[in-house]
Amino acid sequence: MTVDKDTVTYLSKLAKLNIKADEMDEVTSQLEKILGYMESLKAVEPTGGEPESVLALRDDVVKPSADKDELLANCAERTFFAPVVPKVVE
Amino acid sequence: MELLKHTALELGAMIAKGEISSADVTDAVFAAIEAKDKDVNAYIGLSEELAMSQASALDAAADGPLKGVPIAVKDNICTKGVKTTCASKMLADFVPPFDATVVEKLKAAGMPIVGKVNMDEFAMGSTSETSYFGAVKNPHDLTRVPGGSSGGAAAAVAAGEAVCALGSDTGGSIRQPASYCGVTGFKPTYGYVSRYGLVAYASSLDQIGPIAKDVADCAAIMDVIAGHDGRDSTSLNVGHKSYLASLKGDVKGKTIGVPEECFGDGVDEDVKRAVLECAKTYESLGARLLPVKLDFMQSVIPTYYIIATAEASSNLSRYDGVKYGFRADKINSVDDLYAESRSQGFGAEVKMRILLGAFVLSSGYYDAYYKKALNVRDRIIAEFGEVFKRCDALIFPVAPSTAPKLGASLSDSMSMYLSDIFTVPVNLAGLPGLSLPCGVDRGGMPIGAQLIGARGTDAALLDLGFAYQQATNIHRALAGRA
Repeated sequence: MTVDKDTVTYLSKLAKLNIKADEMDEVTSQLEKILGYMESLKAVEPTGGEPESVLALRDDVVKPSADKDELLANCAERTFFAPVVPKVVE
Repeated sequence: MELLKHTALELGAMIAKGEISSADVTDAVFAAIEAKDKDVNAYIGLSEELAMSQASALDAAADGPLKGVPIAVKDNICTKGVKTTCASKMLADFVPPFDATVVEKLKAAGMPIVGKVNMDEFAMGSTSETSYFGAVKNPHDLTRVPGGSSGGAAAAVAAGEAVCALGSDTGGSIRQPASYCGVTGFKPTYGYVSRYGLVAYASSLDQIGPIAKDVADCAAIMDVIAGHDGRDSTSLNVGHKSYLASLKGDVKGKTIGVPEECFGDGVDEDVKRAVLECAKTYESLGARLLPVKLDFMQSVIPTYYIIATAEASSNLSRYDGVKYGFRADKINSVDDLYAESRSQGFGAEVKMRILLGAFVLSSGYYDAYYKKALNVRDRIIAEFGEVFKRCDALIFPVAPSTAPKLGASLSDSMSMYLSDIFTVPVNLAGLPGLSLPCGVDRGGMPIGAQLIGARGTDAALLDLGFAYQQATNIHRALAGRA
């Protein structure tokens, strides 16, 4: 498995992370080493079955929501009813 | 401080008889933290006001053997009104507006919550060094790591800074630090303890469990925290008999498998010797030892890290600087807000795992990595199932070595991942796993034996551990109680 800087740049866009120029070499070499090791799974014969699911759906019952002010208290910037983000439309 | 040499159950009995008060014990814990935590760094935050108000209002709590006994809680478990940081800059100021289900249960059982214990950032690590709030030190040797990610929980119990603690275990994060610190840790069957309010790392693997001085304390804590919870869609709706009442200490007729793959190259000789001696103790108590093979052991690390990082990259996408968590300043656009808040808020190891997860889930690699790992996971579950047709439990080391020096694995993620080989298969298969102190190496560092059982055999597994601790003294010696 070869990992180059273009791959890391692509992944960082997918993951919404900025990798600084001085971190790029280290991140690239660590990713290459780890993904190279993960490639060993290719040698394992597949079983053919679909993965099992353990999820259980709960009944669709309306329950009280959390307190709005308590939830908003953790926002870095907020109005009295919603978080504030930079302008998204011109 | 002498008070804190007692187990949680002993303290609970003394409180019930009126010999001491819950406030006495809680005060003693805070005094021990004051005296020792400058060196150990087991705690990120204390909740003295909450703990003392709980200790003085026990009448409202249900009766039980741990009523009044204080407990520490890993800082990835939400506590209403008390900061829950996940040891990350990202959540350094996060105050949950709700309690995790396990925290509700601790409060209902009258167990004062003394504080939030340190950990690897977002539980991603095996040494408790990636914490934004500084590395935790091993109380047995302050130049060594306590293990991770629940290193603060294990170190606090080992140092006498906590009577007992709740940790979480995604790939060994309860069992391995318990082993490195010479205390007892239990990872329950997946779905036995609610994950509601546990900050998610890898949701199909995460499980909350106890760390304490001995198995009996762990069983008593399980009685408090186990049970079905409709707020966790993976919580199992099964009955739980009392774990504490299940402790009989009789192992006659039990078959304990000894997997040869777990005693081969790469495992320290001292660790092999101590764990095999532990197995021999079971034989002397009337159990039968059976050599078994676990053919999948070479696949467990890649399988685990593919699944764990895939789930982490998805779970941690919620941190965007908007609703809660760290928010970067000097931002021009929403995209900048997301990327800069995440880049400045997460540490290096967390970012590495998010990138790995993004890779294994990305177009062109999904089938070869993520889907293949799910497939191998099913194979691991099936092979464990075959082994447990012939054995009541398996015994092998918790980790290939004792606690390494601080800093030894920080610069190389891969070497840290490899040390998880004996703990991650248990999470992949959703099994219960118990870490028991069973000896020390030539440098005096604790060694842990791991007992694992089939899904749902938690009570029987704890009973096996109880039998060992009834017959031996190492767990008391390591806690300074021998």
